[in-house]
Amino acid sequence: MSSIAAAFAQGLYALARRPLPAPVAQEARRSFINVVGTSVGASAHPGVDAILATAHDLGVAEIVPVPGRRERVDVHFSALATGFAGHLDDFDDTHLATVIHPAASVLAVLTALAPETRPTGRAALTAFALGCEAQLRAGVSISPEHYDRGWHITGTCGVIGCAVTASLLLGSSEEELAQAMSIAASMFVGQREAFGTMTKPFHPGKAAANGIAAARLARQGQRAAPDVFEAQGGYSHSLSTKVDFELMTGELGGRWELLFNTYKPYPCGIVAHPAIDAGLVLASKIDDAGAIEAITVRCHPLVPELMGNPQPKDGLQARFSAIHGVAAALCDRQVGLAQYEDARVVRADVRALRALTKLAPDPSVNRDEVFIEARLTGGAVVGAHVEHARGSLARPLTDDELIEKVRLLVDPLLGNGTALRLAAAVAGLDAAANLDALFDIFLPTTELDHA
Amino acid sequence: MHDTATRSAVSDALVSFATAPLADPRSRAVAAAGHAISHARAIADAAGDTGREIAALLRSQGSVSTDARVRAWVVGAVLATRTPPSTAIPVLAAVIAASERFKASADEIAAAAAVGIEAAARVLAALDSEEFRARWNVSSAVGVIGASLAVSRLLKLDETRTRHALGIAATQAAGLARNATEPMQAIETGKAAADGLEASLMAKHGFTSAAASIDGRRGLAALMAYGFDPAAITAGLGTHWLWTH
Repeated sequence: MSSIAAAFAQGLYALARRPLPAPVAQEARRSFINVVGTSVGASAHPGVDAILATAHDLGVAEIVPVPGRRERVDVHFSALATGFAGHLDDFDDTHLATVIHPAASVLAVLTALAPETRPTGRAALTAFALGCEAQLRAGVSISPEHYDRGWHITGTCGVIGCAVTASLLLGSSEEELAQAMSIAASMFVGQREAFGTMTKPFHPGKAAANGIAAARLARQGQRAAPDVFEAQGGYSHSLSTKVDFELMTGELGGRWELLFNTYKPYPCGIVAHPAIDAGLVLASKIDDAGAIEAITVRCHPLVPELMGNPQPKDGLQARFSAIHGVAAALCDRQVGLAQYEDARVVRADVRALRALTKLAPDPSVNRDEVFIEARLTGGAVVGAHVEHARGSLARPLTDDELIEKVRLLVDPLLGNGTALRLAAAVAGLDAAANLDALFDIFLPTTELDHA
Repeated sequence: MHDTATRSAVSDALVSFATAPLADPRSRAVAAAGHAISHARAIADAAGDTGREIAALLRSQGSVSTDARVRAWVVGAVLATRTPPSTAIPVLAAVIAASERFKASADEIAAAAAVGIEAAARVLAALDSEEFRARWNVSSAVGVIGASLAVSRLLKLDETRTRHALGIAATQAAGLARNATEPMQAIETGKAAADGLEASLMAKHGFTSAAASIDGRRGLAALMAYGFDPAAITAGLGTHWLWTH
């Protein structure tokens, strides 16, 4: 009987030899552009500065870029920085069944290894998609016990997917792919105690760096125990009390977990999203937010419980305030990172509107649903009903909405039109001989120095 | 939302131990740590073919020869190949690599190693059980804590930064018991040295982490151990050396 690692590698390797099914390729492209947006959007964060300064202190080679940055570092720190930035602010993607954010780490592997491995667009997208798929499958096989216990599954399972993406880019054999995953199995990273600090997004960053190391070690002939997934004292049984390997290795090519990836339209907890949607619908119906006298948000009881801060004092607190999301939507008619900056959160207009807004929990309202009502000066009442929040499985972000999200993330840093050029490049990946055009888009040009 | 702890007696004790002057800098423990560093250097230098093979293997990550992170990994893997398993291995390797790159006196090096070795020994004592050893590579999973505290001391990080370094290290506690009889054991143990060194440098540059990374509700002990005795870490830390008794 072949080991789990060998069976998994056999299935993944076979998938890598043929074109991705069209819907899978499409979802991979959506996952890809979404996470390019979040990684560029966060590329100026002090955490990225700290990672790059560490690389400099250690004396690493300066060979590989980081999306959104001008510095060059080695492969390890490029992967670490990109994976960190991609998941910062929890603004990336979510596979709801496992709560894995799969794309940040595998994008980081791709951008760190592409300069050396020079994949075609199609090979890059396949390596990206199968890296997502492999980690999601590793995740479902130990869910929900693994996450519930307190592991940050994005890092602990991400490393397996990153070993896959790295192996495919490096041109590894099926046997080397099995070894890479087996080596990666003991390089898991991520405890949930660190949530709320820079260490949370560090997890996918380090998963990417570790996955690359595992793939390289495998190619150099390093070996792990062949049964490292299924053995006692191995990966799966040490990290979870419930394990179902069929969910990991079964129906490869038939069942695609990647198809269940979702993208966050707003940089805050998903529970607040229906209310923000409703605020944006109202904004389209109300010309002057100053005319609002009172707002009532009838919502699922989890909204006040998890997102109930009525008057946040900074950006972090605002991420736990559905009321801030509604107020920002009405004042700014858009809700992106800018609406969660500390200075924006404390300005008079949103503070006043927040004071006029109340949450009315109602158990008959679904989790992804909201009823909103605003009373205006003169007595007029304007309302809206959001049946399914944008970005939910029932109402996925449209391609246009996704590009708009990416535009708000990348254009302020890299110049107007960047998101559209990015969208065109991603749409054309299948025919691209390499990723040079893509890298040109998400690396800053020197002209911007003078902008 | 996650109700993360903001205080931790365990973190307080370890951070204070790593940052404060030693109660007795001439203690037997510090002298022993200085000796252990010399011994480890000698083993790493004399590793011959094994050392060259491991170095070639790990350098294949595309790094340059001046890279202190990979150097820590190589030294740790060599030590784990040539000496019995111990949570001290990542500490020694991280201190050796860090001291080659950043200026430090022999006394400072010995004190940093002593602090890291003692901290790791106490964290292991607090977590230890048959179930714990049946699942994890103890040398790497616990050694990364000591490596990070030792390097934090060598870099003279303040308490806040040392606490963050401890958190960045703890969240990377890894290595599997299944590999104990495999060559991977040495790779895992060496990696803990590299990760501990990296954690301290990131914290030095302002990277943040959990306050209660070991004893918090979703921290290292809750996730990996099957019993936890915080007093094994805190009682007499700084005055009584568990490691040399």
